[in-house]
Amino acid sequence: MSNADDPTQGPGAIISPESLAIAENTPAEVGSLEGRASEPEAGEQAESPLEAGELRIVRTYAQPITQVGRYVSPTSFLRRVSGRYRSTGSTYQLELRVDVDGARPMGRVSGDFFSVSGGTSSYFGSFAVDSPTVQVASNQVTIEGIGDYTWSASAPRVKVTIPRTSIFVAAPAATFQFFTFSGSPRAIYTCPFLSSFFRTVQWEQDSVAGTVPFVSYNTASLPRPFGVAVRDLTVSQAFADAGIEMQTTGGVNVVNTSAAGSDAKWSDSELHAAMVANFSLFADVPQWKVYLLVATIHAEGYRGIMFDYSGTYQRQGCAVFYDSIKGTAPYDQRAQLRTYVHELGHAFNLLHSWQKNLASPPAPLGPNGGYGDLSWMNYDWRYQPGGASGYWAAFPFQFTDNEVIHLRHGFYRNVIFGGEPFGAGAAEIDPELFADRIEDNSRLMLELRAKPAFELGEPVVVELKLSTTDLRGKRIHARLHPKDTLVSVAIRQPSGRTLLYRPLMDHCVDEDESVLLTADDPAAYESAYIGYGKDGFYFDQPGIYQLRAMYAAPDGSRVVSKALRLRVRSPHSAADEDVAELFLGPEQGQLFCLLGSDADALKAGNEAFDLVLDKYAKHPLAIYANLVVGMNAERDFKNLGADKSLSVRPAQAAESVSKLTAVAAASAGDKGIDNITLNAVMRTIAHAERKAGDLDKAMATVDKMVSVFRKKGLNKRVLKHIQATAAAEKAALSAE
Amino acid sequence: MSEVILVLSLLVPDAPIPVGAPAPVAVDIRNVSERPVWVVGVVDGSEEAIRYPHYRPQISRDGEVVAEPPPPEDPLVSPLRCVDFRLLNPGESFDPTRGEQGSAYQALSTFVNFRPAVPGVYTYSLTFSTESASLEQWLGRFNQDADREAVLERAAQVPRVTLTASASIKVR
Repeated sequence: MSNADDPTQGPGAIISPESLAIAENTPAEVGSLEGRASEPEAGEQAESPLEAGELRIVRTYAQPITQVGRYVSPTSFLRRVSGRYRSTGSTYQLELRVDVDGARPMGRVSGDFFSVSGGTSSYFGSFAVDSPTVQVASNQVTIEGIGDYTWSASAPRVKVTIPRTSIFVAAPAATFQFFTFSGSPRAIYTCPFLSSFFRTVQWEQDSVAGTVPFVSYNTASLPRPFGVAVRDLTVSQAFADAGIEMQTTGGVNVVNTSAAGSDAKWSDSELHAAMVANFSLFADVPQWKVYLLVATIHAEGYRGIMFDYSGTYQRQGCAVFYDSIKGTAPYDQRAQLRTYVHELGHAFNLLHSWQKNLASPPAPLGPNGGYGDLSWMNYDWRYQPGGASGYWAAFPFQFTDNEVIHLRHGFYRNVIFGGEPFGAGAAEIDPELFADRIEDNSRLMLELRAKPAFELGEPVVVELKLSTTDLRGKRIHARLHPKDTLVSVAIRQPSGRTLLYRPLMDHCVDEDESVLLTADDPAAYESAYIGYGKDGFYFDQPGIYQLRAMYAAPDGSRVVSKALRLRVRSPHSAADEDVAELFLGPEQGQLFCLLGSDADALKAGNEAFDLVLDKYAKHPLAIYANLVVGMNAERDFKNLGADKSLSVRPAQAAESVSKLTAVAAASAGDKGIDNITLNAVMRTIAHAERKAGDLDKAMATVDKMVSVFRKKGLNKRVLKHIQATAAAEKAALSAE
Repeated sequence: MSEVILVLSLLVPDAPIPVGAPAPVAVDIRNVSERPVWVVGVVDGSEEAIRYPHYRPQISRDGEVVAEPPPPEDPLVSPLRCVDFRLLNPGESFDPTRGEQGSAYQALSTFVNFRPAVPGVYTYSLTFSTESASLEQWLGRFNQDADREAVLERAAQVPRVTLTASASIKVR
């Protein structure tokens, strides 16, 4: 990757020792580098969640203090640093969001990059630092951490420095700098303060003739939960509480009811047409502009709808239906507020509380399968415990933390109206999804195992073991590989971000392949490569990772493994770096998942493996290139050409035997590939030998397999299973 | 006379339950035919009948409806996936409100959240329907594309029935 397509490399600003010194040591001067901080607009203070703090006694820290994770500012005359900042520049511009103090700080830093070309700029990519370290000194706040990126960032560490100033002077600029893993400084951006809101949206609302748009609900009108302030709560303020500014724009058009057709009921397509015709800011592109129509009645009787859920640019508009929600009583007004915020929440790509696990990628469900969420995105009547009365007795008129994180820090396209389709990129996973069960009567135990450390680029393979503690026996389904979708694996990356492993291809499990675990045969095993999936590489940064697996049992139990900790080491040599680079391409990731392929689309991956075998044949990771090439060579490979012609590349037995024998030899001891994969490799060698016409050799290889595992000191049950497998394999070879 | 394929039952406690307590109601669907059949449990939108299969609960006392799902809030229901289909062998039954093997079956909120406020005899009823006018009425409104064809194919194999079961619960 060249500097030109990586904003972490530059040019954000000219990198010089001087500029670094300014950034790191004299923050007071930073504000003078580029322009002046902009003052919040009049009126903004009133709604801002971040500037609402009252004036209190100044506390000055004599020494810097370090806190990891969430930081709460000392209350003082000092200005809070959270909010939105924006750099200027001729190549890249950064919109930076700092979220470490103020109301509901989420302890994060995130940003979007825009590439500038002439008089135009376009979105480039986003990043987020989920668990930064925050240092607060008397004169500045420093935030550091490793980001997650929508692009392959070569300098993924970030450092943000913001001077602390009095609330009586203009907010200072933030200095943002990238660093490589080893700490070498890279691009630096000076970002003047823009707003105390993390995102600003232009919201246009029209109403159909005869409807009365909602204005506000006084939270004292009905009994409210403890801690809920008395105020006239508007839709804008509900989003302001989450750090999102909703600027109402344009005049409120009154739409004629004829737009709903002859039946006067609105269909989704009529709503979309009304939006296109009446949304003065409509452009059918991703933009921070959203439309809400106060309509009369939907053809299906809904209370509200985010109707823009198909097509290329979704989530640009929503509607509420006055006939279904109207009323001036407090209950009605409160319900109207919830419906307005709820539907706009969908436009921001928030799903219902009980649907988060079905987003792409999946996100955690809150309590009681999501029904326990106290959120605008829940339905009151579905709330558990207690239904509508329970919900309103406890609802604090806000989004959940995960929803706030999405609104403030979700990657640009996942949030912006007209960006990712509804339900895609809607949230990120929470490690609590895989938290210890308070009670587990499943009589099953799931273990997740792997070697303690991997080299950067090395395929991460885990072993899953499901065993029963029930001596009477326990029936399970034997599909333990995550690709069968019955076992999930959560991966907490060094940055603190937790992802759900999403296999490249899901398999729909149709058949009931249950097996009975007994005292004599108490466990089932599976080996799974989880290094690459739908989200790309999951282990592409050095550092400590924590993994946890969850098994969905036939009786509905969710069995969770203990956390597995593994390390991805930094490259030690130039050769290590080179091999890591050669392994970390997307085509190579797919080839690891598929254990090789001749597909033209993966040609670059095969060339990378060939290069490893040519240039680094002695490197410890070369066995993985041998593994992929050798496994693929054993197959007849069918290739459907662009002209729909089918060609078959016959198995290359000699090539397969050569490559896989090298893998087996390197793995006979305590190094190399895992035992389950080794088992598969040695059986594949035998089949390749059989294809080459040497049955005796094939039989000998199977015998050798048993011998190798016997020497490894496996337990008797596993060895017995391997012996049984070997016997079956020999019978199959004889029959071929 | 048409073949009886599925039987729907509500399982309720024999003994009276106290005022203010939710009643433990279980649902059972049994395949009484002689062939395996595909069915789907309660999925997002089933209870409000905004997507198939419909599972419409209702609670009444003295002939008056005291609890049922409110009018649908919005139509943005979750995708239907292959794992949401359940193959019932002859004689086999399942509880459509309890997810197994990754299916996204949901509890019936109307039953779970209802707490009778006064003593009396309450009738819990449930209507299960697969009689959709079109197969698309089974689909979700987001993230449906990946499984769409497979799901439509399987939805077509679900027997078309409308069944109602009811049971009385005494509240003291």
